[in-house]
Amino acid sequence: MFLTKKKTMIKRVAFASILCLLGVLLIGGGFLLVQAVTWYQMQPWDKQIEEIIQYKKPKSTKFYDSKGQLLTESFRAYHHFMTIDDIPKTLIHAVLAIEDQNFYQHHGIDLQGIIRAAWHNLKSRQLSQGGSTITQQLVRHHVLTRDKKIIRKIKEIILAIKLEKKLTKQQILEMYLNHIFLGQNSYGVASAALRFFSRSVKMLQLHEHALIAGLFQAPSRYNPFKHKSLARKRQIAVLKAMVNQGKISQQTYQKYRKKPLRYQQHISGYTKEPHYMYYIDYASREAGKILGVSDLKDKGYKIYTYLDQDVSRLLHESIMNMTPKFAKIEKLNGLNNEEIQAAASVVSLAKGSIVAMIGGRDYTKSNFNRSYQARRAPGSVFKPVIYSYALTQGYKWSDVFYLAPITLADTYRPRSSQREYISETTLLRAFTSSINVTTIEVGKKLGLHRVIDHAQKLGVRSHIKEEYGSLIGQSEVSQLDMIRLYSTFANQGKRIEPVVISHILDADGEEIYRAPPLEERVEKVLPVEINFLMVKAMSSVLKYGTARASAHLASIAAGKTGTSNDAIDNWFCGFTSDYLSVVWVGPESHRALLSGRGAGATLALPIWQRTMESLSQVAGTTNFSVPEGVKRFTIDARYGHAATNGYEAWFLSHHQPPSRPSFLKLLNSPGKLLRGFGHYQ
Amino acid sequence: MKYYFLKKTVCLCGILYLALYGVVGTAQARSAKHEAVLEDKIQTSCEQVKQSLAKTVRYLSRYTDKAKSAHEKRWAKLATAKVNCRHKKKAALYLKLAAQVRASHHEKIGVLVPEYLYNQSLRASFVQGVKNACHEASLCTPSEHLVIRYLTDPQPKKLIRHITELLYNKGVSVIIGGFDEGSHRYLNQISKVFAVPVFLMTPRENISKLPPYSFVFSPSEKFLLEGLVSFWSQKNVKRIALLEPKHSDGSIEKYLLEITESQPMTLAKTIHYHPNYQSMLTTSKEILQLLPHQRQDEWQQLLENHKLATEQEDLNTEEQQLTEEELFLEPKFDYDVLLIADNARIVRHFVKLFRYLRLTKPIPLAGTHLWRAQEIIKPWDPLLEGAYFVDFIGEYSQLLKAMDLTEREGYHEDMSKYLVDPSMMANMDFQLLGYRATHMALKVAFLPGASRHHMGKIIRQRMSADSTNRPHEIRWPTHLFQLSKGHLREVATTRSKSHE
Repeated sequence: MFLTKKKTMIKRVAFASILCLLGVLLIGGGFLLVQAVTWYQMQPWDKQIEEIIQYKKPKSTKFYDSKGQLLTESFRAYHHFMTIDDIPKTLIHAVLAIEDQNFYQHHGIDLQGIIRAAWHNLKSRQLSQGGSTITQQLVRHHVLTRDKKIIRKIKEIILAIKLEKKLTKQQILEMYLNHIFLGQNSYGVASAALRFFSRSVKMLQLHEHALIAGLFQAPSRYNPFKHKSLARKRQIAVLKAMVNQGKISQQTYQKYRKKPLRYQQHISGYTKEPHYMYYIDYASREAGKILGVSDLKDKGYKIYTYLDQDVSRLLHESIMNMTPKFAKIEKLNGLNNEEIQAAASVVSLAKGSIVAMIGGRDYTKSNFNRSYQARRAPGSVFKPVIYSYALTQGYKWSDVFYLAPITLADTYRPRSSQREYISETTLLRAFTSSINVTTIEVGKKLGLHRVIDHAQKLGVRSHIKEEYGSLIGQSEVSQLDMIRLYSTFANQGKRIEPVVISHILDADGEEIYRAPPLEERVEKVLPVEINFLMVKAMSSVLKYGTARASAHLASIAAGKTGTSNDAIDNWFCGFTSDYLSVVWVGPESHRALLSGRGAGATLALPIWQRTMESLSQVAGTTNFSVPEGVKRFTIDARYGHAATNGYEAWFLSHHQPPSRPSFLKLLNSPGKLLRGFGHYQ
Repeated sequence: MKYYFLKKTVCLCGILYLALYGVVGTAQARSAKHEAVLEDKIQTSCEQVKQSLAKTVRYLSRYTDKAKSAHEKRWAKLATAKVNCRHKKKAALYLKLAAQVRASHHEKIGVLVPEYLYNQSLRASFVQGVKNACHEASLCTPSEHLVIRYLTDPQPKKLIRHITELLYNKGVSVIIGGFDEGSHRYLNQISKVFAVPVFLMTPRENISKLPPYSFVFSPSEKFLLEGLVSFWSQKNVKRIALLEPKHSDGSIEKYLLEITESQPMTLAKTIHYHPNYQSMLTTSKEILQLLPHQRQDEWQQLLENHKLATEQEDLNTEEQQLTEEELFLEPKFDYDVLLIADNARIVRHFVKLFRYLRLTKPIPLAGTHLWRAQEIIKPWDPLLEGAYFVDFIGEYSQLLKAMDLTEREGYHEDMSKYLVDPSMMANMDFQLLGYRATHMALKVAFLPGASRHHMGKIIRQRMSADSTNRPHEIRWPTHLFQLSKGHLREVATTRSKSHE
C-alpha cells in the first residue's frame, strides 16, 4: 500500500514535472517564436529588396577639356555597366560554372551547395565556405556585411528568396555581373576587363573570361597584378568547372589553359594619353578647393577645364624629345633610368589659364606632379624679382658694377665664374649673363626683406627664406610660383591668378562655379614701364645671354634660365605675347649632376624652345607692345654708355644711360688715352 | 740769292758743328774756350766726323734741292773723306759760323708735335694749349710767333730735317717738343750745340745729364710722391706698403725708396701684381696677412676648427661647405698706409677683394694721379673713406675757366669741380702741358736783344730761384685729395713759384 502510494506519488511528480517542463518548453518556444516573428516582421525586407533593385551606380565626376571633350572620370568604384545581352556567353558560363552551377534551378538558395559547404566547414572546423548562390552574393554585396554569422546567413537566405520572387533570373544575373567588386576598384565584368586587360570585355577570349570569372570569389586574393600564380590557378579551376559542366570541351580547355594572359593596367576609362592626368590631378585639387570638398569621386560633377589637348600633347612631345639627352646624362652621372625628371606648364595669357601641365615624364610610372607638388630651388629664374625691384628703386640697366667675389654673413660666399672677376658689367649684362655676385650685391643694397616682399607681391607664394642665398634662388619654390611670377611680367605687370577650371556643373547639371573673367583675376603690381624694361631685358637673355641658343626667338619672346647649385634644378621660364611656358628639369633624387652636364640652357631651354616655336607658328605671335615713357638705346654691355655696338636696352625716358664712355671703358679701349705722364698710350 | 746762299751755308755749318760736337765733345760747349778744346779734338775723331757728316749731308740734300745743287760737290767732298782732317782752319770756320747761328733768333717758338705717338685729339689739345698761351701773351701772335711742325714718323732724319728748318729757316728762340726718347736725344744735342732752350714734354730718367738749356716740363711722379711723403710725415707715417702693377716700370717703388731714404719712414712692403683675379687676390691676402705661411699657427687652428664643423655637418642653410681657399683668418693690416699705384678701376677691385677677405673697416689707403676719376667715388664704397691721392691738377673748373674752356665739351656741371669727363682727362693734361711750356717760353723769347744762350740762362735762374724745383725739371703743383662719403675734397696743395 505504502509502496503503491509511493509509486503513485512518483508518477504524479514525474507527470507534473513533465507537464511543467512541457509548459516551460511551450512557453519558451512560444516566446522564441514570438521573438522570431517579431524579428522577422521588424526586418526591412522590402526596403532592402528595393534597395537592391533600385541600386544605381554612383555618378563619377567628369573632367572636360577646353573644347568640351571628356577627358576622364573620377570615381571611387569603377563601374562600367553592360546589359546581359552584351556580356559574352562564355563569360556568363564561366561565372555560373564556378559560382553557382544550379543558378537556373534554385529559388535563391541552393541546398546542395549549403550541405556541401556545411560538410566542408565541419571537416575544417571553421566557417570557411558559405555555399552562397549568386542571388545570395548579390544580396550580401548590396545590403549585408561579409560577417560569417548565422544571423547574417539567415538574412541572406531570406533576402535571396525574396529577391528571386521579385526579379527574373536574367535580371539577377545582369545585376550580379555588373555590381560585384572584382578588384582594382572595378565593379562588374566590363570594368574588370578594362582594368586588367585594358580591353572591352567583348574583345576578351575564353581564358581571359575565365580569369575574370575567378575574381568573384576573392578579388584581392586572385588579383593578377598582386598574385599572379594564384590568379592563374583560379583561372584553371574555372576552366575545369566549365569542362565538368559541359560548357566547353576538353579540347577547348586544353587549348585555353595554356594561353598566356597579357595584363595591361588601364589608368582611366577615357583618358587617351596618361600625361593629361597630371593636369587633371591638379584640376581636381583646384575643384576640391573651389567646392570645399576633399573628395570629388562619385559626386557627379562635370568639371570643365582649360586643358588644350594640342598644347599638352606638344609640351609632352617636347619633353619626350629630350629622352635621349636625359638618358645620356643619366648614364654619365650614374643615375637610374628616368631619374632625370621634367615638369612643364603652358599658360594662355589671353585667358590667364593654364592650358597644359606635365608633371613628370611618365604618369603611369610616377603620378607625382612636379608642377605643383615639388618644391625646387629656382636658381636664376628668381632673379627677375630682384632686378624688377631694383628698377623700381632707381637702378637702370646701364649702372656699372665691379665683379669680384663677395662674402656675406661672414661665411656665405656665393660662387660665380672666376673668369668674370676683376672686370665690370652693367646691370643688364649681369642679368642676361646671370651673374650671381652682382645680383646679390644689388639685392643686399635693396634689402633682403623688401626683396622677399616684392617676390610675394609678384606672385611667389612659397615661403622664401630670409637668407642671401634666396637672392640667387636657393630657397625652394613650386613651379606654380614661377608661373604666377612670370605671368606678371608677361601681363604688363599685372599679376594673374592662373586658373585651370573654366566652370563646374553639379550632378543635376546646374552651374555651381564659373572662373572669374581675367580682368577680375589680375592685380597691378609693377608699373607698366618698369615691366616693359624687364620684358625687354628678358628678350636680351635670349639675344645675348644665357639663352642665346634660342636667339632667333628674341624678337618675339622673353625669358630667363635658371640653374641651381650643381645643376640639381634646371629651369627656363619664358613667354611670348600669347603664351607663357615654365620648364623644370632635374634629377629626382636631388643628386648633383656632373659639372657641365646640366644647365637651364641645355636641359630646360630646348623643351621651352620647341614648344614655343610650334605655338608661335600656330598663334602668329606679335611683338610686345611698347608703352609710353620708355626709350631704346644701344649701350656698351660692360660700361653702360650709349654706343653704336652693344646690347639693346630700354630705359625710362627720364632715366637714360650716360652718353659718353666712362673712365673704365677708356681704360680698356686701345687707342683711348688716359693720364700717365710719359706713358699715355 | 746771296741771302739764300748764306743761310744755307750757315745751316750746313751748324749741322757740321753739331756732328763734330756730338761725337767728339764731352765737355760743355757753350764758350769759345770750349770751341778751342774741340778744335784740338777734331783731329783725333776725324773719321767719326766724316761718317756723321755723310749722314747729315744726305738729310740736308733732301731737305732742299737748291742746297743740293749748290753745295753738292762741297758736301760730297766732305762726306767722301776728301776733307783733310788736319785742315783745322776749315773746321774752325765752321765753328765760327755755327756760333753766329747760335746767337741769332727771331723771337719765335718752335713746336714739334709727334703725329706717330698720339691721336689727333690729343695733338690738337696740346697745340690748343700752346695757342692759348700765345693768345694770352700780349706780344704773341700764333701765326707769326709760333712755328708748329708735325712729325709723321720717328725717323731721326725727319726730326733733324724739322729741327734744321726751325733753327736755320725760322730762327726759333725756343723749341718745345721731346715727347719720346728719340727726339729727346736730338733736341738735347741741338741744345748743346746751339745753346737753344729746349722744353722736353715727357719725363727723363737721368736729368742731371741734360745739357744746360734742356728742361723737362712734364709733370713728375717723383714730385707727386714727394708731396705725398711730405703729407705722410705730418701724419707720422712710418711704415708704407706699396702695391704696384707688374706692367709698370717700377718707378714708384724706386722713387719711394729714394725719397724715404732721408725720411723717418720706410717702404716696408712692396708687392708687384698682375691685374688679374688670382694675382690680385693673392696680393690682397698678403697685404692683409691671410696667407697661411704668414700666420702658420692661426691657420692650422682655423683648419682644425673647419674640419670639426664639417664633420658635425651642423651647418645652417645659409652656410655652405667652404673650400680651403675660401677659409680666411681675420685680416690684419700692419702698415701705416697702403699706396696703390694703379688706376681707379684696379683700386675699386682691390677694395672689393679686401671686403671679400672680410675687411670691414677702412684701412689708410693712398694713391697717385691715376686714381682721379669719377669711378673712385661713384658708386661710393665706405672702405675708401679717408683714402687720399695726389695729382698735379687741382680744380678742373678753375683750370677750364682760366684756359677759356668752360664751354668745352667734357666739363659737366653735375660733376665735381675736381672731375672732368674721362675722355677729356688726357686732353686736359696735354693742353695744360702745351699752355705751361709756351707760357714759360714766351716769358723769355721776347726779351729784347737776348741770345738763345742768354734766354737759357734766365730760365735756369728762374728755376733755381724756386728751391722746390730740381735742375732741369719744373715742379708742377701737387694737390692732395681726400675721399669722404662719396665726395672728393682737396685737402692740401704745394705750388711751385715757376707756375705763378
